[in-house]
Amino acid sequence: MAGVLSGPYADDLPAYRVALRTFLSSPDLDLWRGCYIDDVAEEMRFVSGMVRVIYDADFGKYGFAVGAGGLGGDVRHWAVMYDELVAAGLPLTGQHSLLTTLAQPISRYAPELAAKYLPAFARGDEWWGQGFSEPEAGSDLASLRCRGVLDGDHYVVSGQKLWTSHGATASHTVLLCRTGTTESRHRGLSMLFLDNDMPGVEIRPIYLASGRAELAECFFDEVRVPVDRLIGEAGQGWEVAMYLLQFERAVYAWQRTAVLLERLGALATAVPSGDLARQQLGTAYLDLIGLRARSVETVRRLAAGEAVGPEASADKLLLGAAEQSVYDAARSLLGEQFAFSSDPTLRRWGQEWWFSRTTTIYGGAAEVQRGIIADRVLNLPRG
Amino acid sequence: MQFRYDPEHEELAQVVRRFLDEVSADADVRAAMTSALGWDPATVKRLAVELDVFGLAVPAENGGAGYGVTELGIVFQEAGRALLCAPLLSAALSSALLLDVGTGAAGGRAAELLTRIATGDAIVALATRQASNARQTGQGWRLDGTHTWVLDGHVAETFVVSATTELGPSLFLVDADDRGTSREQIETVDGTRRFATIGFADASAIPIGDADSATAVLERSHDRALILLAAEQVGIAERCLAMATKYAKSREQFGRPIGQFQAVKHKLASVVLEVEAALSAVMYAAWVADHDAQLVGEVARIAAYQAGEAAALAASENIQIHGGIGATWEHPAHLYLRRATVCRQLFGDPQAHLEHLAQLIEARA
Amino acid sequence: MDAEQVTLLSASLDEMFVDAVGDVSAVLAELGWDEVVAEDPVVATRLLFTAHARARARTTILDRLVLDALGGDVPALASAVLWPVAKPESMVCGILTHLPGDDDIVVAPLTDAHETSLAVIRGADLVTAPLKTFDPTLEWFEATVAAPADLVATTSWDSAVDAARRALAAELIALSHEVLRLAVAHTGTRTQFGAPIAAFQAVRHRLADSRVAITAAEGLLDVAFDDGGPLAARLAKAQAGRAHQLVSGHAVQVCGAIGATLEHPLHTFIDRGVVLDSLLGRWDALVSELGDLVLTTTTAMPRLVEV
Repeated sequence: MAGVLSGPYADDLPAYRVALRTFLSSPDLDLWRGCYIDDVAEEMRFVSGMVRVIYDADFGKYGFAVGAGGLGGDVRHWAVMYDELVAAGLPLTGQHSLLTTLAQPISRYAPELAAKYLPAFARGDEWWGQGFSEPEAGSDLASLRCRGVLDGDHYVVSGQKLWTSHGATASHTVLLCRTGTTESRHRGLSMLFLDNDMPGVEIRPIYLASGRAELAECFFDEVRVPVDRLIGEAGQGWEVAMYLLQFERAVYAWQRTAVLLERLGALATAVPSGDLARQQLGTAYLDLIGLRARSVETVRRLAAGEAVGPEASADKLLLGAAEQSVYDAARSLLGEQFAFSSDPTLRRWGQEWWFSRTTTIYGGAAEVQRGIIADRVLNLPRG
Repeated sequence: MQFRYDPEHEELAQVVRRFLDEVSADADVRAAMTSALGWDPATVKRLAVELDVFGLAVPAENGGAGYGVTELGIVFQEAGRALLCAPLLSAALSSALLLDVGTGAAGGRAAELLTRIATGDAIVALATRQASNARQTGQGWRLDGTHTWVLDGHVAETFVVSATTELGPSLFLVDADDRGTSREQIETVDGTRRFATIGFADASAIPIGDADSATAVLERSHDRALILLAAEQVGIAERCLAMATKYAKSREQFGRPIGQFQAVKHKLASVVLEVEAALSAVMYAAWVADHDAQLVGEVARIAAYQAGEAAALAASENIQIHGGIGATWEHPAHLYLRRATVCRQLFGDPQAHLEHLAQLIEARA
Repeated sequence: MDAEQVTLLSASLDEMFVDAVGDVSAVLAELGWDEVVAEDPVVATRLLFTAHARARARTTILDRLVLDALGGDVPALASAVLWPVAKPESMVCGILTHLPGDDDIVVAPLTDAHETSLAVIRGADLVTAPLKTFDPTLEWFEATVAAPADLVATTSWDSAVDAARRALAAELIALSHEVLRLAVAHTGTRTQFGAPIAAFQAVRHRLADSRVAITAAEGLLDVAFDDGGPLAARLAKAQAGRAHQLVSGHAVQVCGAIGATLEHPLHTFIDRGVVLDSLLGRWDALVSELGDLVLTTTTAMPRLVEV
């Protein structure tokens, strides 16, 4: 049945690219071209307008299941979207990162919830937070403590989440919580879909060192969540989380390459040439294309429904290296302008440099990714 | 040769540290950062009166304590450690420069300024990064030009200005309230220091020092600036190392303190190496500045380079080791990285230090 | 080509390359290599140079690849390439990977600001001297041209360089894999402090980073073969050389003293890589060229890879 309702570009990626490129060049989108907004909440609100225009014109419906307001296709359509948005001078921001991470898991593990809620997310009318990390469970995610206690046909959720991207303005939270015993580690986890206006939910923004409030901390005090809000089965939370992390680590990496290539080009026009510039810009470019060369394989495998598993850690590590390579080049080559920057264009480099520092922390610190590769790709003995 | 601080130096460090623990805690730093002035005047007054930090290297006859760069360096190290917000660096540099040109300069004005800098009552800023144009008129000397990134220029009462005359580079004093003087405060990534762009349009100026010695005076001032800033960067690095180490011992993941993981342990060990190397370089540079002026150019750059690298590495690794919490506004880790970032650029970046060092070595060979 | 075929071919090549020196065209012909190339030239090249790396063979396959890529631009009998090095004006000099006979034909590229032409030289017209390289097993030569050479125009030199860079990247990647394999094997069995040293994070993370660097090089080589162009070939060789250097550094460290002995095979894969990295642009020189490209690009940066 899906085939009947899918869109004309679901199986024709080249045609999708051509049509999308034409659409994105239309004056209807000029409002968003070249925008950079300091305030994160304002940026999310503003960019959501663009997401809506693209969704309503059907181009934003690819990569989403037909049953969830989409027109079919797969994550490769997103990859094309990212590249073409950047090429058209349009923003590629939090909206897209959150969709990249959250849309596939909910479609796969909770098609009914996806059918009901995903269209509004894909259209930019709202966005969701990802409640994974906790104060005492960062890289060691399996030790998380936020509890969901079954009480009839509800889970009663209590606990705290930290580092929820755009959590303060999100309408829902995809929450990983413990429904089993504390000792159960990853086996006792479940994934729930919460409305952020449910009684007992409190969310506060966290200001990052860049000065931007990208993240939030969430407090849950006996929040009653119906059991039909489970994403996957009870106790299947870890599996859902690992499925999700493939997208967070790999497809998101592709998204960043699109942005970073544009930033590298901007940096090249802002700095004088010289041996150091050649070396640093050349390294950054090599890192970026190296990441794309790796990522294209991962994106294709995910699009084909294959499990990428621990191999996605390579994408994540390459992303961290590429991101820091671009912004460290900026810090080094912009010289004193980097430190002494009243000019908004230059201040943006500083803010983005701060963000680049977190690339080796969020989504599993670089040290953890190396551990995954050592354990599960190289099969080294464990300590 | 082994470098160690004397017991008196250790004691000086302790006294300053205890004092700064009291007046420059995280909340004090954040309050100062958001204040219009950039520091708390009461704290600055206490620093002057109780610790005499502004007059530390000013001779006794000019109202100071008569110590050397070594002692001053210790104070800067502690200032970096505590992220002290105070016009300390401009005071140290302007007082040394005025001493260098001679207290008799500008008809005794230099001596008068020096005394008030030493007591924390006058802020004299150096506008020596660029040169203005100076010309002699019937009403004396007049200056035109723009000076960027003048440290503490937003409130200085007087500027020491480098300017080009027909005879070559010269130094002048210009009053901030001269009607030819304008200033505009500028933002940097580091809120713990203040800078301004200073403009002179037909501003009246008083020459100080001999015209043919200005270049050498500025070089000496620059060398001193590098050493003091390097000392401050060592303080920043030491503090970041201490924070990261403490966190690595207390933060548990995977059932044990993260400091037990080699990935963390070795990061900290690498920082220790950088910090130790920087500390030695700074101590040596300060000793040379106090004892053997010939070598200062080289050792100041070695100290500047090494301390710049140490502070940047320590501040970055501190954030990585702290994980998410280290990247928040609330946590002080970013304040240290910000200060380290501006320090690394303030008197030339590490690359510039290395290039200059190479030139000095070549010239000597 | 299916996985079974690939395995069989690899095994045959491994066998063929044991102690192989010089021209292996005849043996390859016996293997039916022409058919393999006809069926899948990319897989054929990768298999060939990968096996060559594993065996640390010293054959003329790289010269052959370049001469084939130059095709009709050079005499059919040409059997060697004079590899360019930083060259003084108006004198052909370079490196020979094997010593041609007096009547053999050697082809040398002459590049000026605008184009490359090829000098066609008889072996007898070369003055040669043995060249010591970083890899003591290689018997290479320096050569200068003693007599005036015939110049022929070519339009294929640049694409021959691209092909050679891809082949070199394949060989460097295979060498890196061997280096990493030895390091994984050593650290998994060497016990210190009561555990295999591969159980310590300091070792594990070095090996993980090595693996990731090779992964990026492999991705870029895939792209280079798909794309066929000069930029992709340059990126692939740059990353392959860079990965080899990184992996070698980590492997030598984690293998401890034993890895630095003549007896242990580790150094053979490292030595060979250092030499191959130096042909047609060391990785850091290529990075610098990429930097030039970034600095002079006025439109969007080439994305090169699309889904």
